[in-house]
Formats: sequence, C-alpha cells, structure tokens
Amino acid sequence: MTRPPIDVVAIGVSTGGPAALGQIVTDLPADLGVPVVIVQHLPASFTPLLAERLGKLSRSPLVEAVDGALLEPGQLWLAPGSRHLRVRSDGEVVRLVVDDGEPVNGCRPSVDVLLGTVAEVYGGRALAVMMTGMGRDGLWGCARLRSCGGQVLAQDRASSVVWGMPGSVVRAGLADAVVSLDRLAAEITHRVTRASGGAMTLGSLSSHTPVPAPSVSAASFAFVRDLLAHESAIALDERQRYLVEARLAPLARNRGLPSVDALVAAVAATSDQHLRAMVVEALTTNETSFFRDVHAFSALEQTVLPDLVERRAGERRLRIWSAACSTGQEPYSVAMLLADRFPQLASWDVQILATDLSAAVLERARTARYSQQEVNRGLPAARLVRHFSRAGSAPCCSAWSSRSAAPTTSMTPSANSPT
Amino acid sequence: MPTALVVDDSSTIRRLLRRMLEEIGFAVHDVDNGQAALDLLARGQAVDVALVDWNMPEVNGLEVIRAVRADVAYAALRILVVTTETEMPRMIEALEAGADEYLMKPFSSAALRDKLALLGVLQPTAS
Repeated sequence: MTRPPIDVVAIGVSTGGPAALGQIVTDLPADLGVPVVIVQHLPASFTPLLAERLGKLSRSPLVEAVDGALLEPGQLWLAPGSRHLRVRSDGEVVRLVVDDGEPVNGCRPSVDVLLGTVAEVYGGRALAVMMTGMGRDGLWGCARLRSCGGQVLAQDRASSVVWGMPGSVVRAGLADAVVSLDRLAAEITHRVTRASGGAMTLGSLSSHTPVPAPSVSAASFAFVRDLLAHESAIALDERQRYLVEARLAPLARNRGLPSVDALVAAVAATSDQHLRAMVVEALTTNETSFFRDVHAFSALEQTVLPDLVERRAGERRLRIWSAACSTGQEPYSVAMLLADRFPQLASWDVQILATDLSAAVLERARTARYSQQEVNRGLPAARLVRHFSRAGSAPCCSAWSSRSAAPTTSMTPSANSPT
Repeated sequence: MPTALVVDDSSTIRRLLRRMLEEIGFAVHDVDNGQAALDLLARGQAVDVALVDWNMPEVNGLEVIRAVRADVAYAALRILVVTTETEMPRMIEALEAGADEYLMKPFSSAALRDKLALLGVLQPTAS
C-alpha cells in the first residue's frame, strides 16, 4: 500500500520538550522541504525564549507562529505560549491561525487542536510526531490523522521524560513507528523525503478531498479494542471490526456525529467517563442473551408452561413462537427449559418457531454456535454442560454448539411469521 | 451490602473484579492465593460470594472449593469460578466439587452481573 507524500510535519510535545526539541531541530536537515509546526505546552512568558534558543540550533528558520503567516516549506513554527495554533487553507495556500480559543484537554496550545486542523487541511499528507510529555493531548488528533491516511511517529519510552502523550498513541495502536529521540529527526526526514516524487503542489493540496470513512478505520478499531481490553477484559480481534461498526453506529448517530470514527475520536479526546462507559456498554451488552429477563423465564417455568401442559394434555401438542429471536438465545433457552423441567413432553408434538426480520441473525440461530462471550451471558453453567458441546476452537473465542434442542422439540427458525 | 471475596493470583484481574463489583454495590476483599482465602474465611470474615480463580500456586481454586464445601459453616457461601479453563470436563469437575457457577475469562461486566444474579447475590436488573 503506498501512502501519500508528506506535505507537513506537526510535532506535539510537553514535559521534557524544550531539551528534546533542541535535539530534533539540531538534527533536522536544512532542506527538509516541508513546513514544520510545533505545539509545546508552555505558558506565554516562556515561548519567546524557547523560540530564540531553538532558532539558534536549527538549520532552518524557526520562529514563534504568527497569525495569518503563510506556511512555507523549510520553515519551522512554534506555537506561542497560552495560544492555540491551527492551520487553514486559503485558496491555493495554507496559513497559520493563532487564537485564544477554549483550552482543549486542559491545554492551550493543544496538540489536538493543531492536528485536527492539519488533518482537515492536509488529509493524509501529514506526519504527526508525538514526543515526551504528560497526559494524552494529541491522541484524538493522531486518531483523526490516521483515519485520513496520515502518519504518526511516537518517541520511545526510554528517551522520554514522561511517556504519556507518545505512550497513549502507541497503546491506541496509532503509531507507525516508535523511535528514540536520537533517531527521530532521521526518521522524520526519511518519511518526508521517501515519497516525494515531487514537492508539494498547491493545486493538488487544494483539490484534496478528505478520505471517506465508510467503516471503522484501523486506528479507531485499535483504540476501541484497547479501551475494551482495559475496561472489560474483553479481547476483540480484527475480524470483529464489523461488530464495532454495528454497535457504535447508532451511538454515533445519537450524538450527532457523522461516523463511528468521529465518535471514537470524541471518546479519545474526552475525559467524559459517561461517554466511555456508553461505548463499552454498547459493545458488551448483547441485545440478546440466554435466559434474558429472569422474571419472564421464571413466569414461563412456574406458571405459563405448567398451565399449558395441563390444558394440552389431551392433544399433546405445543407450539411456541419466539418472535424477533435474534441469534437464537431465546428459543434455545426455551428449548432447554422444556427439556430440563418438563421431561414428560418427550412424547409430545412440540415445536418452537423462531422468527426474525434479519436473515443474518436467523442464519446464526440456525447454526446454533455461540462464542464464549455469548455462553458466558445468562446461561447457567449446569445448563451449558448439559446442553452444549465444544465445537472446535476459533483462534480467539472458542465456539460452543447447542445440542439442546433436545429430542422433545424441533426448532424452526423462519423469516416468516406463523399463520 | 453484600460482600465478595476475590481470589486470584493476577493483580490485574483482582483490580478489574474489584472495580466491577464495587460498581454494583459489593464490599470487596481480595487475596492472591487459595490459602489466604481459606485463612480469611477461618478468621470469621463474612462473605456472600467467593470469586475463585482456578490456577494458582500452592492451594488452587479447586482445592479451595473442596475445603469450603467440606465445612458446613460455609454452607451459605456461593462460589463462582472465574477462570481461563474452558474445557467441558474441567467445568464439570468444578461443579461437582461444589462450585455454584462458572465464568470463563475473558468476561464482560454484563456477564459477571448475570452470574451474580444467577447466584442470587445480586438483584437482576429490570430490563
């Protein structure tokens, strides 16, 4: 897979940054050929001095960013302290924006703010570099950039004073490479010059259209996988990307967000525990589980079925309909209940009809194979042992096959309603 | 407030279970081996449900279950095995030794709540 050439480098750095930036700007070549924008978390009074010092070390011009300045190759810009730095396209050119917008992640300047606009303006033609620093400012921006096809480098743990910001993107699976400080400038140079079949043409830049994201990006999936592993000990594997899409799409719509990627980016950027919990819940709660709704099954066992069995003793015929049966947990639960509690039905004509609007879930119901996570939910262990057998094991989750349907009953999953 | 005892040699799992259990209203004790669990019970610590890992050094989960079930003083204690053992014969072995329920790792908090509801130590949610 070829990736687009890099037209801009954006560096995010915090604790330990002034010294680390000194090394980077010293090591970067004079002819990098693209502009470099830097967000270093610092209060206003410190950045003029830092810019002056870095400017002396750098082989290319390095100054504090100025609002409205033209972003030109070979120039390095440092965000002024206590102000946000953004980029915006202005016809055929790109300009810097310096403003006093609300702090993001408690930070101004914020790496997320810069990277968000970089992704917007440059799409995949950008390289983000996350360097030493506390917290996770920049995580959302890196997710955003990666979802557009951009690249992300992270400083390694050993050379970082605090491995918070780079660690967060590494753990989220967003880093294309994890590099020590002394190799970072070389790696940036390599990535910038590798694909430069030609220098940036402004025409191609302005005609750039953001890459549509019809499904969950690898970066978003990685973030969700790590979130889930941390919050619930559930391990998603790559093949469950569809699950992330299917479960999170409704949540994204509810929040007025255009895509699952946007939702994931919002979760990554926020410390809102409620939103995180909703994402985890959406992925861990099955709409269906075995013996879902204890009260309903208890009523079925204690009242409804004994009554029916008594009234139908003459004709010895029983028809049960599981409407909207989803992947089959409900009808199989009923089948297990019948087999365990009403053994006299063995000689009856008993049928369970299970229907659902979705052909896909019916097909799954028909196979009667369930993952470990599904049999963990609601199904008493004694019934698992009695009614299921192991159906081989998939690499990630072991499958369980229901042999419940018991001799007493026959299951008829059907897309049609009974008449 | 119901009380849970977590017995697992993995500090990660102990932390995870503690958080999940506390969120749904349990007082939580945790220990990192089977002998410590038996010692805690012997000292008279009241526990409603014990969440017991299988594979632990020295005294393993199965031995904990057998010891607890051999003592009528703990007749009311519910035992939930929480383990990476997913083979059917192992599950049967645990149930026969006196485990009340069995939860396979990895598990979701929803699955944990389901199991606690099955054990009657948690009110099932209305939905």
